[in-house]
Amino acid sequence: MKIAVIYKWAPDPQNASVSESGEIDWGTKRTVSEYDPVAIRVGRILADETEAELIGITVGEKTASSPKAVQSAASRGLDRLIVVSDDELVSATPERYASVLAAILRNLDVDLILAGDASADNGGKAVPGLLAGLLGIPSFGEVDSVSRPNAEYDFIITRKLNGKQQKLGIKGRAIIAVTTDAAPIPLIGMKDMMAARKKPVEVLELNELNFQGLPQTHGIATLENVHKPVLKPRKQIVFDSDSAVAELIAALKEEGVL
Amino acid sequence: MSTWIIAANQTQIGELVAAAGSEASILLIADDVALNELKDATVASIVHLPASGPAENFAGVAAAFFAEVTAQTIIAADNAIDRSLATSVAARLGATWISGAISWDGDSRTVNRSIAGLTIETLKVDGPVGFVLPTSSPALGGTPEIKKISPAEILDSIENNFWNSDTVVEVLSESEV
Repeated sequence: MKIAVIYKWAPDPQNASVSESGEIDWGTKRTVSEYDPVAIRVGRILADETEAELIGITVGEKTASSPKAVQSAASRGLDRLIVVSDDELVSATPERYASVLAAILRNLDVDLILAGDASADNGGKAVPGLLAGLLGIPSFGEVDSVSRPNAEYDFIITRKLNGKQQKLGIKGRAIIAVTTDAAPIPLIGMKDMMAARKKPVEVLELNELNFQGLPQTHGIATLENVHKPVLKPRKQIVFDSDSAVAELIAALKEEGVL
Repeated sequence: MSTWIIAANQTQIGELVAAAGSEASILLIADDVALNELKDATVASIVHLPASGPAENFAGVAAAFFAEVTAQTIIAADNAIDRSLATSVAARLGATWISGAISWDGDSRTVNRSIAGLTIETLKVDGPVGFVLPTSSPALGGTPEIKKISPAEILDSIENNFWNSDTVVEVLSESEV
């Protein structure tokens, strides 16, 4: 059995700066995207239970295959990594990411694909669904738990929707994006970092992948204007009475937040 | 231009209608209760795909439907189910996906989107595109044309039946939290 985890070598919005004209400078620092270690951890737990191989897959700019980048991801518990690093992917759209991931995954014969809740930079939560569409399998977002029973289903997942918890049984392949509740993240120690150096890493370039058979996007989005968002003035209200909680709730309801 | 809302998560469908515009139509993947709640939504029409079980099972069928009606804009509410459906459908159709959309103007076919809350881009779109929108107040009071269709009817009507997945997904339980 094989489990794949897709992760992103991403910039952190906290390190980004925005010019007066609205252009974003993401800076040079990159890390494994904030929510992806949860997906890797969920994959590690499932892989240990089922003696599966856990494969980390990422697609990104050239630094995604740097020793620091692959060690950082591998130390989270991956058995091996596949990295497509190409500076053509610096500002890739979600469907471009998804198509490159699909080109890799179509040849891997994995049983389950895991993803984090969202990428730290754009946070659009779109790639798992787009990838699912390209692979012709279902995707499920905001999943709180993934387990592997012994009998009727390959995987059982739980998620919260509209005030209800739903348990789904899955027979066959699927893509599952997990929430941060899905697994606690262990601290990474020196032993993990040393072991990570020995994990096999396959580095590929875009021209080595086969995109034939994947749908090509044919919509066009042309940038007309970019500007900084207008920040709403702060309310400057402090609730400090004995009924502060009730007052806060009332105020949030009045603003339409709750 | 053909603008469609794809909707399965009943709680947010009505709210999305206002953002999509009165010329839009809804592909509703849900039960009759949801249809009843939407029967006076301010949209041009509602196509009802009666569904039981997880809506994600119907992504292939929805894509086949949108291919047949040559949908140019596919909009979903920003929740896990509708987003999964819409992205999966967009990929099958080769529609361009626009992340972070915050508003849509159907007349000028422009989308405003936020990049990580840092900046706002205005995009003019052409050809098939998809995005999720934040929801607002329900927009009811219309008289949409309502049509019921079956998955088999959709799949039979197209030559290429690659849309469906072999994966089987079933709801095992639901409980209040």
